[in-house]
Amino acid sequence: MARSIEITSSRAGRWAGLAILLFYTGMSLLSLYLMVVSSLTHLGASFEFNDLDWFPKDWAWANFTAFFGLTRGAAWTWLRNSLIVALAPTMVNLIFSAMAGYALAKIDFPGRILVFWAIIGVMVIPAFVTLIPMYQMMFRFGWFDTFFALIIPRIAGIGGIFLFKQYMTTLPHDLCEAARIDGASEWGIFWKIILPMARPILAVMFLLDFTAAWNDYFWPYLVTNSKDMMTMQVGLISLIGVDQGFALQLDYGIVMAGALMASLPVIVLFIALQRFFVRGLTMGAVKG
Amino acid sequence: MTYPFWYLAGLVLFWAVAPWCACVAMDLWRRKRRQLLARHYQWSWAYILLSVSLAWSTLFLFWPLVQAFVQSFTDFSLTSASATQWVGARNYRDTLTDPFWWHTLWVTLLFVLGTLPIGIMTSMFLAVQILKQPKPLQTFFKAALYLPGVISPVVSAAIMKWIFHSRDGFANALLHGVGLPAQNWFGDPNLAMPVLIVMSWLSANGVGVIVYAAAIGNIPKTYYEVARVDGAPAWRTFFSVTWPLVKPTTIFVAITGLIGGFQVFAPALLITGGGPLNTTYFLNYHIYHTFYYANEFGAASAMAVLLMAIVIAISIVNYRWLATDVEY
Repeated sequence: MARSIEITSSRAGRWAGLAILLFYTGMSLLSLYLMVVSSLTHLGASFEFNDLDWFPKDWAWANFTAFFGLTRGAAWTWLRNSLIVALAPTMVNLIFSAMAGYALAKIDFPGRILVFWAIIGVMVIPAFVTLIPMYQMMFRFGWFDTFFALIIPRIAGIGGIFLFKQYMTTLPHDLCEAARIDGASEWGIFWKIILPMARPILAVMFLLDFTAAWNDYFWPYLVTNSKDMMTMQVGLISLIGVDQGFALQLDYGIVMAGALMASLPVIVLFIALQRFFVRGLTMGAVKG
Repeated sequence: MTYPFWYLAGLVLFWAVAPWCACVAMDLWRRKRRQLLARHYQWSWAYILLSVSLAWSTLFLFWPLVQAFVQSFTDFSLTSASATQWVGARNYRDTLTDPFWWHTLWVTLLFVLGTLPIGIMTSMFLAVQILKQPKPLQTFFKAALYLPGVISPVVSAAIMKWIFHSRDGFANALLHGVGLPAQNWFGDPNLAMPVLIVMSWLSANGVGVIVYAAAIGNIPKTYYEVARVDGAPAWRTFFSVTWPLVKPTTIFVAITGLIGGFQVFAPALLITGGGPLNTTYFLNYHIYHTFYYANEFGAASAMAVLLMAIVIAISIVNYRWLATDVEY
C-alpha cells in the first residue's frame, strides 16, 4: 500500500500533525482518565474538586469495595449477568453469521442477490421501529424478565453476515472449486477450509458483537425488572438514575468505580484484539 | 416460555426447505427435465446455511417491522380500556400536526447538524495527520482515537454527569481555576445541547478516522506527485485529489452518521431527561415516552415509522448528492 501523504508532507508538517494528534487524543481520553483517577480517590458525597489527586500515589480501593458491597453484593450479580448475556449469544452468532456469509460469498444460488440486498436494506431500519413490537413479543412469549429475552434476540444478526460475506468474497474461489471437485461437501469446505481462513474476521466479529452486547443498556433495561436480572449497564443506570436533568449529589467515587468495572472488559478486549479491529472496520467501507 | 422455540425451529425448517423447493421447481420446469443436478445439491446447502439467519430475521426483524406498520394504524394502547380499533391515518395526522413532534425533530436535526459535518471534517483532518506519522504511531493513534467508541453510553453518561455537575464538577473547577463563574451545564437551556455536541466531537470520530485513514492511504502516490510537479498548493491538492477520491468513504461515513445521529437517545435518557425546557428532547426520546410511559403503542409506532421514513429519505438524498463514479 502506497502511503500517499508522505510525499506531500514536510518534516515541520509531520511535527505539527503530531502535536495536533496528541492534543486531540488527550482531550478525547481525558474523560476516561478522569474516570480512572476518581475511582481511585476517596471523594465522598460532598465532594471538592481539590480532593482529586491527578496522579494518585496511594490508590484507594475503598470505592471498589464499596461498589461491590452495594446492597449485599448486587454488583457481582450484575457482572455475572453481563458476562452471560454478552458471551453466550456472541459465540453462537459468530457461527451463524459465518455460515450465512459463506453461503452468500461462495455458493452461486438463485436469490443470492435478493438476500444480500435485503440484508443491506434492513440495516437502515431504526432500532425503535422494531423495538416496540419486540417489547410486546417478549410478554407474549413469556420471556419478560428472563435470560431468554436477553439472549435469544442476539443469537443471530445482520451486521456479521455482511462482514463475513465481504471478507470471504476476497478468498480465492478456486480453493472451493478444487475442494468440490475432490468431493468435499459444502459443509466440509466451510468448516475445514473457509472458516480457518476467516480467523481475523472471527476476531473482529467477536469483538464487535461482544462489545455491542456488553454495552447494550436499553433492551435489558426494558425487558427486565427484577434485581437478579440486572446487567452491569442496567445496574449503573440504577446508580445514576434516568429521565432526570438535575444533578444528583452522588458519591461519584463509587459511581466511577462501577463505570470502570463496566468498561474494563471491553477496553481490555479492544486493546488485545486491536490489530484485527482496524481491518474489520475498513472492510466494506473502503473501496480498493 | 419454551413454545416460541417451536416458532424458531419451524421458521428455520421453512427457510431451509421452501426457497430451495421453489428454485428447483422453477429450474426443472424451465429446462423440461426431471432429474436433480449437482447445482441443485449446492443450492440446498446455500439455503441450509442461511436458514438460521433468515429465520432469526423473520422473527425479530421482518415480523416486528410488519407489526409496527400495522400497529401504527390502530389505537392500540395499554391504558385505554376499550378494544383496539383501526383508526386509519389518525396517528400520522396527529403526529404531524403536533407542534411538539416538530420540536423534537428540530432538536434532533440540530444535534445531527452540530455533530456530523464537523465530525466528518475532523476525522478527515485527523486521518491526514495520522498518515504523516511513522507506522507504530499510526497504529497507536488509530487505537487511541477509537477507544472512546467502545465505552458504553451508560458509562459515558456517568462520566459526563460527573464532569458537568452543576455544583462541583470538573468543568466548573476548571472555570473556577481561570476565574470564571460556575455554570449550571445540563441545567442551562443554552448550554445543555452545545455540551452534548462538543462531547460528541471528542469521542465519536474513531470509526471515521480509521476509515478515512485507510481510504486516503489507498490513493496512489502518483496523483500527489503530479500535483506537486504542477506546483499545486496544499488546499488545491486536497480539493482536486483527496476529496473526490475519498467520496465513497464520505458517503459511507455520512450515511452511517445520519442513521446513528437521528437515533440519538442515550444522552436524553441518562443525562438530561430531555430537559432543560425540552432543549434536548430528541425524537427517539419522544417515542420512548409515548410508548413506555403513556403506553400509546399505536402513536409511538407511527412516530417510529415516520422516523424510519426520514432516515431512509435523507440517506437516499445524501447518496444521490454525493455519489459520483470514482475510478482509480
